[in-house]
Amino acid sequence: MNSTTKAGLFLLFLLLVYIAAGMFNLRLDFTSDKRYTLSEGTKEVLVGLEDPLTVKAYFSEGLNAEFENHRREVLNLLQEYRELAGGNVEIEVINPSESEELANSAQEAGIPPFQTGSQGRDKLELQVAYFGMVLEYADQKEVIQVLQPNQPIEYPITKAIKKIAFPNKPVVGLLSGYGSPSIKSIPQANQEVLINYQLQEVSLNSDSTSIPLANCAVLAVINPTDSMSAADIKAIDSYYENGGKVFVAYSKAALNQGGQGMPTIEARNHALETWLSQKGIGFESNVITDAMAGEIMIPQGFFQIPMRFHYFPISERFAQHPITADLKGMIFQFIAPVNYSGQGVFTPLILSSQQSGKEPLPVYINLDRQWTEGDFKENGLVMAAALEEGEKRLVVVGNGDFFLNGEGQQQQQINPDNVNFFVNSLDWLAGNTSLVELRGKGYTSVPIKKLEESQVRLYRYANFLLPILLLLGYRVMRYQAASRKRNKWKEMVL
Amino acid sequence: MDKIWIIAKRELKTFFDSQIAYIMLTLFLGLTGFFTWIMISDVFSSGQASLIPFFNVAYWSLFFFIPAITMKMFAEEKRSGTLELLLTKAVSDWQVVLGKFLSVLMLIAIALSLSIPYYISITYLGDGVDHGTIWCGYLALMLMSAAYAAIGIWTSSLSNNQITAFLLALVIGILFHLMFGMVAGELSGLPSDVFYQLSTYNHFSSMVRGVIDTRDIAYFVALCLGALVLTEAALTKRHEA
Repeated sequence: MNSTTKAGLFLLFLLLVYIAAGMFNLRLDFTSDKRYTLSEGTKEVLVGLEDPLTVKAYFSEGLNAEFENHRREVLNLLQEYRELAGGNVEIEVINPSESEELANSAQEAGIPPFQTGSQGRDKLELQVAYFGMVLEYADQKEVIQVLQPNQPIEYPITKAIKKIAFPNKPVVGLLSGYGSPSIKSIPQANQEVLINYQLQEVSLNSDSTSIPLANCAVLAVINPTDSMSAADIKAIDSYYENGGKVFVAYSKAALNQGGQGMPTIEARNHALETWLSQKGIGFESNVITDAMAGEIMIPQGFFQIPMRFHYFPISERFAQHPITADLKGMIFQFIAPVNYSGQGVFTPLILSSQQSGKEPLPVYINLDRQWTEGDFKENGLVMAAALEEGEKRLVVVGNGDFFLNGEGQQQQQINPDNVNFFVNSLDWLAGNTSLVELRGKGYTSVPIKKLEESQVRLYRYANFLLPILLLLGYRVMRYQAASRKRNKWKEMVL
Repeated sequence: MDKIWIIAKRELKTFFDSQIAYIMLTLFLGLTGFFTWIMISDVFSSGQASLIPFFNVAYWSLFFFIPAITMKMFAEEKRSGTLELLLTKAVSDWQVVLGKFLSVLMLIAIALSLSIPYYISITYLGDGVDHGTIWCGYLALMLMSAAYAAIGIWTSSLSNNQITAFLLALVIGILFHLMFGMVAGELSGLPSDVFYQLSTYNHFSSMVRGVIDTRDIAYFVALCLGALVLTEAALTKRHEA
């Protein structure tokens, strides 16, 4: 056998090895949050499946490399879903780009087409693509219209399974009346809550037609502004004392626009505070300020310019707790510190930054104020906390509208982690944490720390020059060593 | 193994005795450093504490530098007649091929290790940097470089002319680096899948995300072994002729 034949046979052998590696592939996920591996929450959901679940994946083939990798990743994950479900998941992969008939079937199933770029022979070509899936369980159906690359994959799939496969959901009661916001004003949170729960408005009035408090897995009390009678408070207390789970978001520090005058942040009092104080929880008559804060737009002539507004603190400091698992950052508009003086297990969940402050209420807002480092001498003020007393559980936040979108024209998008905090709290209170770790999964942002311009320059040029200088340094050392050697030889010869 | 190691060390010393290693490494570090830290899609403009900008630049710069390093491996020895001298010694063709391959790998490892200051800076710049992803990125660069080094050594064994060897390595490299991915995009069904599997970028980008898949490892190892086997076959054919 000559060398060419041997080489040919060996290459054939390599091809077979490569095909075998594809058939019996092993995958190791080295990402810090294991974002390409199914989590415990998903496993819990899959183990609970009683009937077969059908997944019809409408994935176009022959798209750009990004989508091809994404396709491979989603199919790998679906394979894991199938294995973990012990045969209760059936997967059908359809390529709608193959024929018009398949494209029509994708659209009829609720998967919309979209355009994506792909590098052709001499130019960037736009292709019509489909990348969604339909999940069917018993007579229920859920459509995931598009699974974009670089976006969470596992959460939307598990969420959809949970939604259709577990119809008997516990009730979360949203206290209605007393100036509290309605379900309509929290569409973002509502969408997430509905996966695990039925969200219903409940009344404390015994004559009302709403479901009794005792039937609620969790009672959410969101920023009541109108007065509550002693009987109302007693109803909440009796629910809680009987092992109830309560979520309270309350704005102790509230903005008063002040008509023509200067806007102020004022302290308000409500009967709810009296009830909370009986449990050892209090709100300070202060408003938290923070060097790390959101911005407001200030009119300057024809323009609006952004200005950092230190009464809108941003927090990135969270407790190691199921509620705050995987949260990256939350923003509040006027928040009062929360404190505790009881015997229960009190866990501060959200803390202000190391450069924060607090100002006694009322505070007159002066947009021209020059803030200094001296204004931010506090560290780790408690913005939200969890309390456990036996079976009883309570989550308290020092701001009542942090996850509200508002209604009608005033509706606005809320930071996703603000919503996640609310939904995670409900999950923890209800003892249903299977989706908590999944919500933050897939967000891979590791932002660069804030640096002075001079520091940025130092990083830029040090990193650019240092490796080259190291190499040239080695060159000089080597040259000197060679010179020494040469001189030694010369001396020996002479 | 000793003989392979001796050949590898001799080759590496030759790189550093001539100016090739310094020129190549300076160009590589200059280019990657410039595009990672100073200009265009650099770390600061992305706002993320991640080495992805470096991996993207290194992916392209190594593609050009490796053929430039490997072009002389056999071509120059054949031209000057030192290859015959080497092959008459008590070393097998395989030992010569593997020794030279190992020396290129060591040079690339040195080049990549000189980028460790980038890694240290990134660790300081962000809280919770994903170290697993970064190490997978380095592994992907190393495997891709090994594959191109093997191809470069093979093309060098086919010609007496360094430039021919360089251009041939570049042309073959372009097929894997660019063309197969583009062809996969133009086709559908099984042919698309086959070309997709042949594309270096698809395997490289999969690993850079922080996932090690046996298919990606098998791809790069198969490319290396395939090219090295062809190199050995080319040398043996020379004896047979």
